Amino acid sequence: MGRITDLFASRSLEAALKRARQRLAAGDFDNALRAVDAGLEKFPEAEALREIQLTIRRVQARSGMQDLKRRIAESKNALAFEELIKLYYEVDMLEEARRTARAYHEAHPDKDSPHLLLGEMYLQTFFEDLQARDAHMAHDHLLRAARLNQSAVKPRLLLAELYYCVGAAKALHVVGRALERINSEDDAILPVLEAIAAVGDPNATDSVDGLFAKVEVDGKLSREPTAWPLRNRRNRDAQLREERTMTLVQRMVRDSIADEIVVLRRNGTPLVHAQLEAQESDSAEPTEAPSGGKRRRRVSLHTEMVDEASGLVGVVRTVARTISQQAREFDLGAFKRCAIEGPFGHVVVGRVSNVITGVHRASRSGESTRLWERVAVKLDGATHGGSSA
Amino acid sequence: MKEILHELNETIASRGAIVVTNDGMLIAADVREGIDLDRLSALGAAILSEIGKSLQGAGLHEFSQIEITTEQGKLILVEAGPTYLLVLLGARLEIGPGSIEIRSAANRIVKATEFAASEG
Repeated sequence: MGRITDLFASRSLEAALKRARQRLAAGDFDNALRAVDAGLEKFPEAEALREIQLTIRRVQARSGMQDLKRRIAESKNALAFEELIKLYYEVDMLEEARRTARAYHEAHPDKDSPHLLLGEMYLQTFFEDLQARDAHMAHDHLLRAARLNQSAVKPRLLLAELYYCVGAAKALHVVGRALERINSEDDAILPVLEAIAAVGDPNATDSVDGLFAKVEVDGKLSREPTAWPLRNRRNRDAQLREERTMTLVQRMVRDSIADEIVVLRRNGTPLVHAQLEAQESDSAEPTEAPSGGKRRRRVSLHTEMVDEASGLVGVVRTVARTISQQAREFDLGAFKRCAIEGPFGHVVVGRVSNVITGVHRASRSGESTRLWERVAVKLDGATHGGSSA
Repeated sequence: MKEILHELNETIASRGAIVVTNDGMLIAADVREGIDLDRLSALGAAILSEIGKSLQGAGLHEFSQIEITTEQGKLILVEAGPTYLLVLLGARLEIGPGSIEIRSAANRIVKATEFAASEG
């Protein structure tokens, strides 16, 4: 029976899921992971397969975690703390990683590593949700890590990245001078020093606290983290994903899945805005419409957008900012989506991988959930490197 | 009206339910222990004013319902005549703005509001 399942596993998503789940239930983790990998090759956009993959990795990592937790309980071993945090990161258990880093800090208040780890975590969160309190936490921990280790480069590089992205020119130049003192010949530091030198007035009077607050109020950073020189390799991958997303968004509006789609990067800057330009009309280059007829919808596509605060861009930005903030107050965890219905049809705003997307469909028929699933599955494929575009 | 909200909380095991006017003023509430009523009504006001304003800016007027899904919970806001019913839920995916319990509570709130208006 198993062999018959294996035979059909490559043909449908259901079969691939069934095969992986059976292996997982039997405790055969290596083969379960192989089944998932094989399934993902055929169905890269399948979120269910990714969830199973993560579950398997977590189960596999559990024994290692138990061992590390035991070592921590026995001796508060610093290395065990660091390994456990790394392991949590690998299996995407970010809250546990953060909790462990806090425990590490409590156990070793005079060590710079827990401050560095916490600073890096809060910095990443700040770039994602743009909340001033995360910027403050990142700033405090990175400053303390730098003070505790006068020759450490990493906390200073992260501080420089934070200052660069919020537009704190004066503080940025101060860190730049510290980096120069530590090692101005290092190949990794040189491009950073060049980027710092290119930034404005070193004598500018900027209040870092005020700049953090400004980011939260404006819902955007002064400069994007992707412009930071140490993020080059990540930039290239991100660029490819963004190109795929643009093509896909245009296609979804043209194919009547939605009438307008806006995609924002997590830091609030607009990536693409596709909008139905005119009602369906005859065309020399017809496209297959979902209804079966040969029609063409004209779609206007904006990629180099003016930073709009109104229209669907404004709705997406407001929803993401308001809800992320409020969800925290009630311990509701991270924001996933917001579906709004009215005489205007459906508007859904949600997070897909590393982007925030807003979709508007004027028709009142159908469900918001189904509209969102169609868009999210396609975008998830594009942002994860899948082929659904 | 508090009774309607209490019944709703009991039926769908929600963490709290409140009724607010379209400008965010609290009319009635029933929340479980541990839920800060001031914060919940501030949340309702923030959704109605911030999101409502941005929708208007986009030319999308008069929303009838909002469903917010997070990792560990859900918030549902449905129109109930001149007011809105806001329900705070744990991560129960099967409950939505279209669920019978929430629709029924919203209808009863509309009737209660109409009755109060005719009495007043």
